[in-house]
Amino acid sequence: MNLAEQKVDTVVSIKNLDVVFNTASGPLQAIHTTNWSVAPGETFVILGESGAGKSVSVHAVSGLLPSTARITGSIEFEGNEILGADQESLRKLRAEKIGVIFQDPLTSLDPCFKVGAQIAEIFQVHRGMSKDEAWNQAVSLLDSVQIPDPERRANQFPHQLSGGQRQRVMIAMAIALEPKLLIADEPTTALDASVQVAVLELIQRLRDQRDMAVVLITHNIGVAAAIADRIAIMYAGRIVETGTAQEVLRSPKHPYTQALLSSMPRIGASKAELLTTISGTPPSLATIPSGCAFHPRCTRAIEKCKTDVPRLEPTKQSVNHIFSCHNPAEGA
Amino acid sequence: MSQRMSAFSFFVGAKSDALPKGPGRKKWFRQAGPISLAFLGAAALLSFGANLWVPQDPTYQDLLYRLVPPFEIGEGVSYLLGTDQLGRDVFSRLVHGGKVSFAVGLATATLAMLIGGFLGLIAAYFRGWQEAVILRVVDIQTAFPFLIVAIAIVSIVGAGVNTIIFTLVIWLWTPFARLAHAKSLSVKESEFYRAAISSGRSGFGLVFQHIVPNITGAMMVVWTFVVAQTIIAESSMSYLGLGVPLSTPTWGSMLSEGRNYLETAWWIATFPAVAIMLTVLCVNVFGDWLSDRLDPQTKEI
Amino acid sequence: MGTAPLIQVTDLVKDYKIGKRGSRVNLRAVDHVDFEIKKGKALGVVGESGSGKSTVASILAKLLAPTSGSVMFDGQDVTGLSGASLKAFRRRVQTVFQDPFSSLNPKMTVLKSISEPLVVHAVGSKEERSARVEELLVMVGLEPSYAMRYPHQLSGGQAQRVSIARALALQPEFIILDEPISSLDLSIQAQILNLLKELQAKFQLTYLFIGHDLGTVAFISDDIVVMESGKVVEQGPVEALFGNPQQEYTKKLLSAVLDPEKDLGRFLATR
Repeated sequence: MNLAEQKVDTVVSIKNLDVVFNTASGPLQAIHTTNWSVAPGETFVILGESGAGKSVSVHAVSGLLPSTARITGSIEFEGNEILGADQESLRKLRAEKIGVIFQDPLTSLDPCFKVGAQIAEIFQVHRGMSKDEAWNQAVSLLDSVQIPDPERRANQFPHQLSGGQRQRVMIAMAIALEPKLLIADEPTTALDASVQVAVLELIQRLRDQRDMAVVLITHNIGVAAAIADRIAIMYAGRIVETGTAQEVLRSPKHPYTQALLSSMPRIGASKAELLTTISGTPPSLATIPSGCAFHPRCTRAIEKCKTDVPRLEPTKQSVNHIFSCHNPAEGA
Repeated sequence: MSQRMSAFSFFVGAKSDALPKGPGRKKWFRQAGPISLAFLGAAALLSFGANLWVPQDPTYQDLLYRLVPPFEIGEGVSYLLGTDQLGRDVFSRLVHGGKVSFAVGLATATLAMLIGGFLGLIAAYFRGWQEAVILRVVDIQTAFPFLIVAIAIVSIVGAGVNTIIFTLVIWLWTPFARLAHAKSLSVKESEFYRAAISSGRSGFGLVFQHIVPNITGAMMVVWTFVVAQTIIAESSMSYLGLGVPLSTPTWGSMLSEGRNYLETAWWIATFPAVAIMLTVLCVNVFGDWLSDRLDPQTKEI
Repeated sequence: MGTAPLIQVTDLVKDYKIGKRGSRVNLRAVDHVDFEIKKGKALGVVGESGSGKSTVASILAKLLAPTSGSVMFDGQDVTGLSGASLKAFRRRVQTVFQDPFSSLNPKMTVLKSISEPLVVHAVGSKEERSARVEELLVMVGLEPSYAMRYPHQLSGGQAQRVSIARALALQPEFIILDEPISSLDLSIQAQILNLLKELQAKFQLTYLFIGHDLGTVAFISDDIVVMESGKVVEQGPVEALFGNPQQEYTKKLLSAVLDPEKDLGRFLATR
C-alpha cells in the first residue's frame, strides 16, 4: 500500500508501551502500558512532574532514548508499525516526518556555526539543494517563524540571539522538512512569560497552517490549559487521567489531578492563609510504591490501593475521559 | 533532523525529565580500580622492603654468570629473571629499582600537587594581579620543552634522586595549578559559597571549609596520572643518563643498559619495560576509576 | 512600635563595565531603584530576565557592592559595613537561593551545613548547636535523622528545606529569597510556599521574595515591585497592583500569565 495514498486519521499511535532501562543497578521500568494517539492538527499535552516518564514515552517515538532502553509494545506512525523496523528507514522517517524541539535552545544549537548555515544544512542533506538554494530557504524559514530581519539573523551565531529567538530557530529547524508530527519537550520552561506566550502562539500558527500533530510535554498547568486539545496526566510512569483539556482541567477525576490543580497559587484567588498541598514527594522511578503509585499521598486511599494497580476507566460523563482510581469521588 | 542536531538534541533530551544514565562502564570495571590499587600497594611495599626479602644483592657482580637467561635454576643460586652483562641478578635489580620509581613518583606528584594546588587556589581566590601573574607563569612554563629544562638543570646541579624530583616538580606543577584555579573559581560561583559568605564566613574559613574539600577529589585524580607520568619521565631521564648514579639500579637505567643486548640478552631490558608498563597501566586504571567515582551522583530518576 | 521601615533602599545603582580595554561599555543593571519594606511584611519583586531583580537581592544581601545609592537596615546605613559590624549585619539578614543542590556544599552533611552560621558566630557549644539543628529540622518539616545525610541523598524539596533551616539558624529578622521554589516540582512548590508563610507568621520575619511566577509571588507578598531593565516600573500593595495595574509593562506581564481557568483553550485552533 502506498503510504502517500493511505488516509490516516492518526499520525502517531502508541499502544501498550513499556520502556525498561538497563541501569547499573538492574532494570528500571520507566513507563508502564502507555497508550495514546494524536491526530493531524491536534495538540496533545502530557502533563506531569519530574520523573513521571513524560519524556520517555514521547522519545520512544522520536528515537532519542539512550541505547539502554528496551521498548516493547506498539508504535504506529501513519498506520505503519515502526517499533522493530530497520534502522535506515527509521532514521529517514524520524528526520523527515518528525520534528523535535527541546527545552534549552542554547545547548541544542551548535555554537560554532551560523544559524542560517545550520538550517541550510538540513535542506542540503535531505532535499539535495545547493548551498545557495538552501540558504534562501533557511532565510525564508526564519521569516516564517517571525524572526525580524531574517537575512541578518541568519548570519549570526546562536549566542548573538536572545533565548526566545533561539527557540524560534529551533522550531524552524524542526519544521523545515514539513514534518507530520512536532514533538515539543518543555519548549518554554527556560523562557520569560511573555516570550513563552509568543512561542506558544507560533506553535499554534504553524500547527494550523500545516495541519501538524503536536505532542507537547510540560509541567506547567497554565501552558497545558492554553494550548491543549487533549491532556494526559502522568504519574510514576503511568497515565492516570486523560481527556480533552476541558474535561481534565474543569472536572478532574483522579485525586492527583484534583490535588495538583487546587494547590496552584493563582493571582486574584482569595488570599487564603495556606495552599492545599499534596503531602509527601513524587516517587523516583526506583522507588515506586506498590499498587497505585499515588496511594501514600492520596487522601482517598483504601486498602485495595496498596496492592492493585487501578485500570483506566471512563467517567460517567464522557467515554473519552478516562482515569484510573479504585476509590473515586461520587459522580465520577 | 540533521545529524549534528540529533547529537546536541540527545544531550538536552537526556536532561529533561531526568532520563536515567546508561549503565556506565561495564561491571568488571568497578572492581578494576581497587584491584589496581591493591596491586600497586603490594608492589610498592615489596620494593621498599626489598632489603628484607630479595635474596641477591643487586650490585653484586658475578662475572662468571654474565648474561644468564631467565628461569634457570643453577646449583645453589637461581636467577629467576637472568643476569645482566655484569652478572648482576635482574630480578633483584628489578625489585630494588622499583624503590626509586615509586619514591620518585609519589614524592614528585605530591610536591607538585601541593605547590600547584596552592598557587592555583591563590590565583582564583584573589583574582587581580595574583591571578594574572600565576596564570602567565603557567602558560610560559608549559611552552618550554621539558627535556631542555631537564638537561639544563641536571648539568648545573648534577644527577641524583633529589635532582630528578626537583626537575619533575618544576615540570609538573602546572596542570595542578590550572585545575585548582578552574575548580576554585567554580566553587566561588556556587550558591553554597555565597550562602557561606552570607552566614558570615570569610577568608580562611571559606578556603578550608568550602574550596579545598571540593577541589581535592579532582586533584587526587590528576595526582594519580602524574605519578604515572613521573615514573615514565624518571625512566626516560635515567635512560638518557640524566638520572640517578649508575650504582643504584633503576628501571630506566636498566632499560638503558639493556639497549645494546636486545638481540642477545633480551631479558635485561624487557623486564624493566614490562614493570614500567604494568605500573603505569595500574595507575591509570585506578585514576580512571577514581574519576568515575567522583562524578557527582546522578540525580534520582 | 515605630513606623520606620526595616529596609529602606534609596537611589540604588549598579553599573558593570564590560568589554575589552579601550572599548569598555557601561551596563547599568540597577537603575536608581527606591523601595522600602516594613517589618514583618513580604515584598515581592517581579520582572523578566535582565530586569535586575537578582542584582538587587545580591546587593541587599551584601554579596555585591552597589555603585551608588544607599541601603538602610533598621535605620542604619549598611552600604559601607565591614569587619565586626558586617558580621553583626549578617546575623540579622540571611538568604535562600534558587538551586537547592547548588546551595549546599556537597561535602558537608546537613548538620554541618545548617550549623555553619552558628559556628561562624560562635553560638553555643557543640551539643547546643546539635540540638538547635534538630529543632530547626523539625521546624522545616524534616526528620531529625536527616542531619547525617549528604545533599546528594536529598530530594530537591528536602534540600531547599535544609537551606531554609540554615537561614533560620541565627534567628534573623530579614530573609532574602531569590527564586526559592522555581527549581522544584509543582506539588513541592506548594509545600514550601506554605512553610515560608507559616515561618513568617511564627517568627515575624520580613521577606524579600524574588520570583517570576506572578501567582506564586502574589500568594506570599504583601507588596510588589515590578522591575524592567534595572528600573522600578511600578510598586504597591499586591491586590491593587495586580488587580488594577497602571503601567503598560505591568499589564503586559499580567497578560502573559497563563491561568488554567481563564486561559483554557487560548491557543487552540479556531475551527
